[in-house]
Formats: sequence, C-alpha cells, structure tokens
Amino acid sequence: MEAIDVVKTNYVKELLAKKAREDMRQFMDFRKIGIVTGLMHNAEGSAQVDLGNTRVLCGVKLIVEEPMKDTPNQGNMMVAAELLPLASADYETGPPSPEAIELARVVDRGIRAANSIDLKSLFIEEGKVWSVFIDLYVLNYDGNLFDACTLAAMAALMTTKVPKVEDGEANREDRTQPLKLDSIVTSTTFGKVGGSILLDLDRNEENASDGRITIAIDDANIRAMQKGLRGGFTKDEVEMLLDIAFQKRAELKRALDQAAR
Amino acid sequence: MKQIIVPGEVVSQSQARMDNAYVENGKTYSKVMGLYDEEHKSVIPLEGPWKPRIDDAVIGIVSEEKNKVYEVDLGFFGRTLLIVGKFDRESYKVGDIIEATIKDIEDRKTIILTRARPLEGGTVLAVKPAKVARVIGKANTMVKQISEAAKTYIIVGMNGMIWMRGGNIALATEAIRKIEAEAHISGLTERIRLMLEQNKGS
Repeated sequence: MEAIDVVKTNYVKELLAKKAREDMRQFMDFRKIGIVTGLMHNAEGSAQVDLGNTRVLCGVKLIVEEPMKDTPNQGNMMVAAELLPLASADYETGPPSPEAIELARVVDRGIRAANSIDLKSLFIEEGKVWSVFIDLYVLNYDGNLFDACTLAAMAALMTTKVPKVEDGEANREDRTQPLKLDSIVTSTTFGKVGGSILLDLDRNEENASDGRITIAIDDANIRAMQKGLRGGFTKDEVEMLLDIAFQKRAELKRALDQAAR
Repeated sequence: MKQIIVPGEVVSQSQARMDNAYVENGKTYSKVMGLYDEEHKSVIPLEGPWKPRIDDAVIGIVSEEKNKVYEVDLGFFGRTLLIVGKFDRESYKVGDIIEATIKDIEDRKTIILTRARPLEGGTVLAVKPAKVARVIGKANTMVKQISEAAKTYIIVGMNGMIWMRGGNIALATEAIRKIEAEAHISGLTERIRLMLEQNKGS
C-alpha cells in the first residue's frame, strides 16, 4: 500500500465515524451506473459498464466446439477476466493474478448457478455445440469490480446474437437469433469497514475494508455467494444484506433492460 | 487575450526570455503546447511536470522512516527527504500528511525539505501540477471562493497535492476537478462561482 492510500484509508474511517461517505452517498447506494452495448462488431455481444469511475468492457464470443464429455448435448460457457495494467498502478501484465481469477470465477458462478444461459439451446449437432466465451477487461479500477463485471457480462449476453450454422460452420455475416437467456443475474457486493456495512465500495473504501460479501440473485432465488477478506458477517447481517440485495435488484435490472433494448 | 500555441510556434518576433520558450535566429518559439499571455508575455503550459523551486511550499505524505530522516511522497516520481531539525516536531509516522518548504534540490531526483508541520486528519487530492496556479487563482481568490462555499479548510501545495478538512469535501473536490478540466477556457471564476452556488443547498 502506498503512503497516499494510508491517508485515504484514515479519511474513509474518519468519515464513517460521522456516518458519511466520500461522495455523500448513503451507505446502501450504488454509484451512477452507465451501460453501453454493441461496441464491438467482431464479438457476438459486447457491453461497457461504468460504475462511478470503475469501467469494465465485456465481449461475448461464440465458437463451434466439441461438447464436454459429461454433457454431450449441452453448450459450454467460460468466463475470463483480465486486470489490465492501464486500470490501476497495482496491476501488472503476466499470468492472471489471484484477484483476476477470483473475479472471473465469481461472475462465472453467478451466471452458471442461475442457469442463466440455456446451454441446451446451444447444441448444434452430434459432437458440435456452441461455446460461449465471456471475456471481461477492466479498463479503470475504482472499486467494486464484482458488480461491474456481472453487469457487463449480463448486458453483453442480453445483446448476444447467435450466428447461423451452415454445413456445420458458423456464418458470422448472418447474426439475427438472440441468445436464449432463462434468467437475468445481478450481483450486489457489500463491504465492512470498521463496524459499518456499505454497498458498492470505491477504491479507498475497499482499501479500508476488512470484509466483503457478494450476493448473486435472479428474480426470486439466491444463486451464489462469495465472501472475501478476513472479516466476518453475522447471521443477522447476512439476512439483512439478502433483503437489500433483492431491493437493489430493481435498479440494476432497470439499467440492464434499458441498455439491452 | 490568450491564444493557444503549439511547440515550435513563434510567440515573439524579437528575442525574449521567458519560461517554456527558446530563442532561435532572433525569434522566440514556444517549447510546449499551451497558452500565450500577451499581456504578461508568458507561455503557460497546458500539461507538464512540476519543476520544484527552492522555498516552494509543498504537501506530502510520509512514506518511509529511517533514523529521523523521512522519505516524503510528493505525488511525483523522485525522492524527497525530510531531515528533522531542531524547530520541527520530533517524529512522524508513515501516513502522516505534512506541509513543508523546499530547502534544497540536490539533483533532479532528490529534494530536501525543511520547516515541516503536520496536518491532522482530513484528506489529500492530487491535481496536475500545471493547474496549481489556476486552483489558487489570482491572489488566492479561487481557493478562497471554494473554501467559503464548501466551508472546507484547504491548503494547496505547489506540487499539486491539496489538503482538505471539514465541511463539504465532496463539493470542494468537484470544484477543483472542474478547474483542472476547464482551466484553459476563459470565464473560469464565474463558472465555478455558479457551480458552487447551485450545489450549496444540496
């Protein structure tokens, strides 16, 4: 941690003691959400999400592949996340860092556990299925990458068009059929700083936090959860956070629906 | 009247000594992209590194401690040392914000500080060093205006670090960021005044 981070951490804690946040938000408020879709022509679906100053780019690519041996009549899905060096001074090139792997797996688990993509609809013929590659690129880091990445992945999937298959090969000129989605997943990430619980932590708050919990939900069900860092959450706190996650879903869903229209 | 100039553009038909300009064949050319102020005959760069000068007041954060010699992070590449003299507080710890004066510049990478005083609490904000003069304004008018509207205590360091405590820091930050982004467009003071008045109530 740089010396300036120590100052910012102390400042965040000083403000929280007075029940305030750096940008005058309420504890359970998201920053401004901006979603743009259809940025990349070569990808089957794409989206860029701005969550405050955090910016994530997502591309969805569909490739004809052999199915996995244990699921011969299903398509495949893979999520990869990359923390680009331009996003923050802390990120470097090279093999994926533990943070990047965790990020990709949390997003992957949310979408997979909710059976969001109808993988059976991606079956083409014997020995041939569509593989969905969801690639996330962090362009600017200002905290809460989990929610930004889940939003970006969902927005990109909602605008994904499946190419037509001719003689067992994909015709990428003809992309009209939308990807079949069974549910829309949203995630809400909470962090614990001192004794207070916050939603949508920014960079300084993340540096100051000692507990993190990500809750992925769809319309009615809890689909996945991930706890990070050392601090813990009590049972009552988790139940309260689950309620808030469902309340906040409307806001996220509205942003997604607007972007995908 | 200020006009935008690019590197290599003639700013004066005669030889003139000014910062960020060079003389060739009896004419003066700009070294940087920036604005040329005809009134004061000076070239103002839009971007650029901070050029430390002796006696500049700076704000920094203590980043390392070794035998009463402190390394201070001034938010730019280089090494800054604070050697505690007899008039200074005895000790600092990593993460302390200090205001100090430049005593000596040993080479391009090492600056010696003196007359340090600690700034308790609050937060720092880093702006581009080229915009520091704009943030301060003519005879402190700009910083005073922000300080009064947001009821925040503000100290601006020449290195681009700004220390703020109390009041509506979010509003002060927004105003300073706006200055940083729009410093080259005329009528800045008026626009900042309007912005501060609009946000005062919220």
